[in-house]
Amino acid sequence: MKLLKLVCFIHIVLGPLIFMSQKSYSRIEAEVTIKEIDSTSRITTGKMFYDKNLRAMYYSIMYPTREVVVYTDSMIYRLNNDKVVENHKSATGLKFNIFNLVLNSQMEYYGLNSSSYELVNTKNDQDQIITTWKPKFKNKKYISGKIVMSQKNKLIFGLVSFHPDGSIISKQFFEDYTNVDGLMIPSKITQIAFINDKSEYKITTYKNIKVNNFDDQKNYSSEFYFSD
Amino acid sequence: MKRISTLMFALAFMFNASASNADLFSYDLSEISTELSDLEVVENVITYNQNSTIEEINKKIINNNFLSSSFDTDYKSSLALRAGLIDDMDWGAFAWGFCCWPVGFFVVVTNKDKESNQKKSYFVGLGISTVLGIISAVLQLAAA
Repeated sequence: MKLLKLVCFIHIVLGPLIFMSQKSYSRIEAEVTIKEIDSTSRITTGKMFYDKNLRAMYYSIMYPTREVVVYTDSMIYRLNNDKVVENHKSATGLKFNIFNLVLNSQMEYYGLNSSSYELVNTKNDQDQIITTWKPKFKNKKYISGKIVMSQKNKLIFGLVSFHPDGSIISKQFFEDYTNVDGLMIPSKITQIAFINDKSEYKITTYKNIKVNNFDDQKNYSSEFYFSD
Repeated sequence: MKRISTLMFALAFMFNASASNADLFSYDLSEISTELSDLEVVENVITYNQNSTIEEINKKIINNNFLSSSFDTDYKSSLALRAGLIDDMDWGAFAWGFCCWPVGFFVVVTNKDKESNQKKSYFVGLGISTVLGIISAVLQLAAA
């Protein structure tokens, strides 16, 4: 009988408290700077707003041009005065966007554990845990090789993508993690793509990261419509 | 002797594996240090002139003495550029414009799921069809 009372107490009193203590995150925003270096040097600055429930990521670009670019799961829109001036199918979608991964608590394995990749090897290497992921299925359209991932302190540090012939296609490094309201978010991402024996660099930094900002509604959704 | 050689082989393998992982998860930005420091100068100009127009910012960047080389301000953002990557001819939409433009108008132009490049392709097809139609009509009139 005492046991039954204890179970009832846990369910009725502690249950809702535990549920309430688990914060749910749906929005994230940050100031973003992208520095790219290949044969030329370019910089993009602006703000990023993402609401995982609306499934749309808004980039309010400040430089080199003032415009808004919206990424959804299937499309990319360029907006001018809230009107779509250009739209294209998105090749990548938002699935592997780091903010989507962070808000959906999938950053630990970069979403690979719920993707078409499977874990084939895990090993410890000094302060890193190295995991190797291989595609589950052979895709005739997109040929993909293995991905090797490194984690430090349970946070993703490096991600190396390989071509099926064994050559490295790209490297990504996630650094300078900041704790934003309990979420660990990398504020610096360095990407190096190896194309025709040349390296292309892209360094993305995020500042003033905010989560669950429900004050600036207009930044998260725009009732844009087609101008053409 | 055999044990020693096996141990040495194992140690060499472990060292090699560790070295390869260290190489795999390392990067060196020293070869782009000049470009990076230039981009930091540009970033500072943008940050301190947020209320200025793009043209004013570009002037300040071009006239900046701290840059090691001239900075080309005439480019598109990579975020916006990604939107234009697939901006090529859609031959299906072109065929609608070229062969059957009245039906194509509803299939392509008024369809919100069609991309900008598909709509452009439709109008290119329609334009070429119209021009060829006019040329053919003129030739027929001249022949008659």
